[in-house]
Amino acid sequence: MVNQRYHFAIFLIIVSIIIVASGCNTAADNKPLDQITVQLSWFHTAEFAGFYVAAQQGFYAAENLDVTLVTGGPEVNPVAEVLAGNAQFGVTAGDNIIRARANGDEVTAVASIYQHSPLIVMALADSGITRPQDLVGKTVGVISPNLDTTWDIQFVAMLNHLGIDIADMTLIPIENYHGAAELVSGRMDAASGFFSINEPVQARLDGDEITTIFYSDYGILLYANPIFTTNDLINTQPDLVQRFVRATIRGYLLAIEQPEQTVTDVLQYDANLTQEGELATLLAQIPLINTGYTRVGQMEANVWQTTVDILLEQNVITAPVNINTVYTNTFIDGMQQ
Amino acid sequence: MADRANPLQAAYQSVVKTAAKANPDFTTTDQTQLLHIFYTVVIGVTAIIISIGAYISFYLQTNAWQFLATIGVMSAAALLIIVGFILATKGQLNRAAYILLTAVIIIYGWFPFIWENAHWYTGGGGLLLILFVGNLTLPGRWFVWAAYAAFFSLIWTIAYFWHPFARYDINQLPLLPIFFAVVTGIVLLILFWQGVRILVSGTIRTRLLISFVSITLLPLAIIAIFTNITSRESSETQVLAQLNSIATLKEAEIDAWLESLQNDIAITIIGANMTQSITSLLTPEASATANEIEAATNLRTLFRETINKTQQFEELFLISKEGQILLSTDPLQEGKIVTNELYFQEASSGINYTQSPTFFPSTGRTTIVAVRPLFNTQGRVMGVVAGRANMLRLNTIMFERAGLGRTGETYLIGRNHVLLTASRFNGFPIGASYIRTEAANSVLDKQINGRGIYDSYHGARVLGVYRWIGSLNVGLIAEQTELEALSGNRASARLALVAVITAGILAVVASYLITRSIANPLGVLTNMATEIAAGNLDLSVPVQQQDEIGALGTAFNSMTAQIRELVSTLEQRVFDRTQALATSTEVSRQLSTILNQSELVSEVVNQVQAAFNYYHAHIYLLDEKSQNLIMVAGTGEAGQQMLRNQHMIATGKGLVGRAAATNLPILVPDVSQAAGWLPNPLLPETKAEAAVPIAFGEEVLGVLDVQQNQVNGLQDTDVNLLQSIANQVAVALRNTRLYQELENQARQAALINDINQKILSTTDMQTAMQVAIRELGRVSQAEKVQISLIHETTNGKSHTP
Repeated sequence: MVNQRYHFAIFLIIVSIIIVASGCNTAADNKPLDQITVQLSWFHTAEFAGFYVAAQQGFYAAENLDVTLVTGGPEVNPVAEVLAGNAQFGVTAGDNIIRARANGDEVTAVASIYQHSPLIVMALADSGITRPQDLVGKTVGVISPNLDTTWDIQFVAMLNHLGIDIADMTLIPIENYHGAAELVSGRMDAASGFFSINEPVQARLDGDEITTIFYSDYGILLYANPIFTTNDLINTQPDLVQRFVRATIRGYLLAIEQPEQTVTDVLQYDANLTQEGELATLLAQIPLINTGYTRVGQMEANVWQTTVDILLEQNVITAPVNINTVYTNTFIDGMQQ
Repeated sequence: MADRANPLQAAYQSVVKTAAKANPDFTTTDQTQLLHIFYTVVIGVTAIIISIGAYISFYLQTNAWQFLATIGVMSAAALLIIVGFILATKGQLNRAAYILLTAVIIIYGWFPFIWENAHWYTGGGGLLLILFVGNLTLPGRWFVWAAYAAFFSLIWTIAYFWHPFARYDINQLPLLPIFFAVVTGIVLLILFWQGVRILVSGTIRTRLLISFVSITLLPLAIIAIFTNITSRESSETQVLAQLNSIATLKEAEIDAWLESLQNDIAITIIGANMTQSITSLLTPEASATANEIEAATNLRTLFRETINKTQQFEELFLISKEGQILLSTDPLQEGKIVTNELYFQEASSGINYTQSPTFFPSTGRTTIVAVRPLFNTQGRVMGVVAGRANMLRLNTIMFERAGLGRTGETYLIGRNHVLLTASRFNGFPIGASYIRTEAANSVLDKQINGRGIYDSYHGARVLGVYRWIGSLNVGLIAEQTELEALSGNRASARLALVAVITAGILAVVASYLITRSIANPLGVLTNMATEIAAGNLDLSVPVQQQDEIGALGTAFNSMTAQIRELVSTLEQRVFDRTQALATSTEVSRQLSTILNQSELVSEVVNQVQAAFNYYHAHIYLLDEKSQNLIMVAGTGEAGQQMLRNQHMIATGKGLVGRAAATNLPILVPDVSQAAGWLPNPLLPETKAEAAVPIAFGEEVLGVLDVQQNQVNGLQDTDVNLLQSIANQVAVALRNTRLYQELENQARQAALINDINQKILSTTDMQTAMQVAIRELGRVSQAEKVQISLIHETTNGKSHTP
């Protein structure tokens, strides 16, 4: 009996060894994953939640994609990066795509993350600034003193539409993008070019009482963060574009449904992000992404046309651009939601 | 032969031979174990070959390394199984069994590490298989199975929580879950089959118990389940119908409310001076600035009055035909441009319109906007009056919960799945909660009405009715938790469960009692049969029941009694026979000393009658001259009487006569049945008679006749016995007769000698002659004796007259 038990123990040990050994024997894999790089328009933030969720929850892997997300920033031009082949997809504001088209660059928007323009002017509540007219005679922060960035162009367009002379206010570039920091410091009375889902959310978290002026309330419509790619990729590998768009939109759909879990995925990308801040941003952007009246990611002609008109007004582009060459809903229509 | 018909059996036989040769201590128990190991090996290897085939085809479809690795593991396990088989052929059965179990652990322990969503198949299937193989190949050594099962569980648990490798989700390939399910199903079937075998080969007690309980419980359970399902369905139908009517009611209320929004705006517009005020605001060229300011003040006041009076709006505002908000009860909104808003576009084209709940980034809220165009005298749209509806009103409508119980609620959801009205559950704020239940998806995506049972947003399972409200572009959902809706149903289900359990307990008790009443007596009977087989006949079963079992006991007792009686009568008969033989011997011994015939026959009849307790016995002797059978001895008074009467029977007449004539014994067991039987008035009680010839070879000397006063009182055994006695009597009779003859001869010789002496004593011829005549006459008792002398030449002879 003792002898048999001894054998029994040996068998158990052998079994363990076999199991561990066979585990090490990782055999050949599937078809190689398609390597995709995405040039984001800004630093890592919950704004790009759909990309993070798609990557973390395996939506990209399920589409046989290996996606690298590259951060942008004030110095990065996503269109140039994509055209240079450093990335296959990019995220940038709608006017940049129109400008690229006007330049003859072959890029097309395939989806828009936000349906509504998030652009705002932010002021402290006690400043009394509640409408654009209130900015007259005030110090207003802008993104670039040249007023040639997307955000400044939109701001100028709003003032123009209302017949407000930009010369009646003092413009200084914003240096600190944290919440209402520039306003609280008194450096400026109002800051233009902010996203409703970023600085105001942070300011409220910081306990600052603020007011916001939405550009869209004054007819300034814009797709703030469309996803674009090259016409070449669309023509030669439509399937790849479709798979990427499908996985990304699935990511955004899940982000909308499960904001709390999504924050966990977002936080993977930047250690400086806070759970509280990213959750607030996520919740704030849900109505911008899913309006209920269009499919998530879908784009409308009138929004693009508004942007084209603004660029023409300000002579950013010299000739009208056919908006049908600027965007396509093919890939949004080509997926189930 | 069977060997040829079944190659598997032939193979097994050769394995048994090999194993028996290798192991000198090979027993029948070992043979059973070997048989099980043999079949486990055959089935295992077959299953592995089939599985490898399946995995190869799956691999070709997917190129997933997990399949390839599994094929490797399967092959390794197959090799192990073959090693086990070789050990088994060498008679090392337990080692073989260990290896088989190890192979099972390798296969099933590997699965959870690389397959996703197959945990329950691999865990359950693996455990069952280990117990099955363990029970088959290591009978009774449950501690080994338990150790293997525990070890497997450990591996499985580790695999469940630790993910060292990328796993392949079996749901990615529709065939794969089926494959796993089928394999597990086969394992279950095999186990079920084993269970049935145990049941079939179990004792009567076990089988009766299981049968009784299942017969009682099955119908009860089926009826309970059926009733429960039926009543559940009817409850569900009822609750859904109720929810549906509530939803219909709410829809009507919403439509009425939307209409009232439009009406209230219309009334406001039509109000006194209003048209004029508005016209002055909308047509700047027709009025002075002072007028405009006054008109604006008036209008704003009127708008505020309407809001306060109707409580229908949170904001009323006037839009120019260019799309700019000219005036609003919320000053913040003035100056905003709404050209892109749907409500403005609709109203601009001259339509009274209500825009469904829409999120406006600037207000940060989802609201309903009702608009009416204002026409100038030419009938052209000169502006738009709009009202942002007070969503609280909608909330009030939806929050009215008559007929919805403790958990029921109705709520609206917008096109983007946002919750538009309050939830009765905490943690779901209006406008920030997104409802993506089955009902929400159906009503919003397909814009259809329907009903169903699904998990609601608050986590509970609900019965729900959903309606697409086209006028508002929203979904209306009415829900009640299943827990509440089916509470009555659950009570009855609980009752049914209690009934089933009670019935189950009763069934167990009743069947235990019944089983005992059958099995126990059977056990007693079995023990008794064993005792009887061992020779103990003095037992009897206590019969307490009046049923078949009681009858069986009675029959058993009667059978035992009969056997007992049979055995004892047999002993009696042996005793009787022994006694008869002793009597016969005694008679013979006595007869041999009796030389007097009359004394002999008298002794014989008395002895025979006394020894066998016959009613009567007598002997006839054949008179050769008359050929009559003369009775010479008889027992009792009747015998004496017949002797005095000089009773005789002619040869051939009656029983006695026939026996003498045929020299054969004649038996009449029942005289009343025998034709031509002659009753003897001296022997009135005779019921049976046997006549046995007394014969010396062919020569019949007489007949021994016995009579009995009972029907069947005389039988063949008696006849045989009597015959042997009769034979002795014949010898004795012959002896007496020979003795008589010898005695006569001796007496004659003595007489002659005496006469000779007397003659010799005479002196003269004359005297001698006279003496001779006198003596001869005396001896011969002749009347006249004459002696004649004759010449010597004539060789004179004496004559006797």
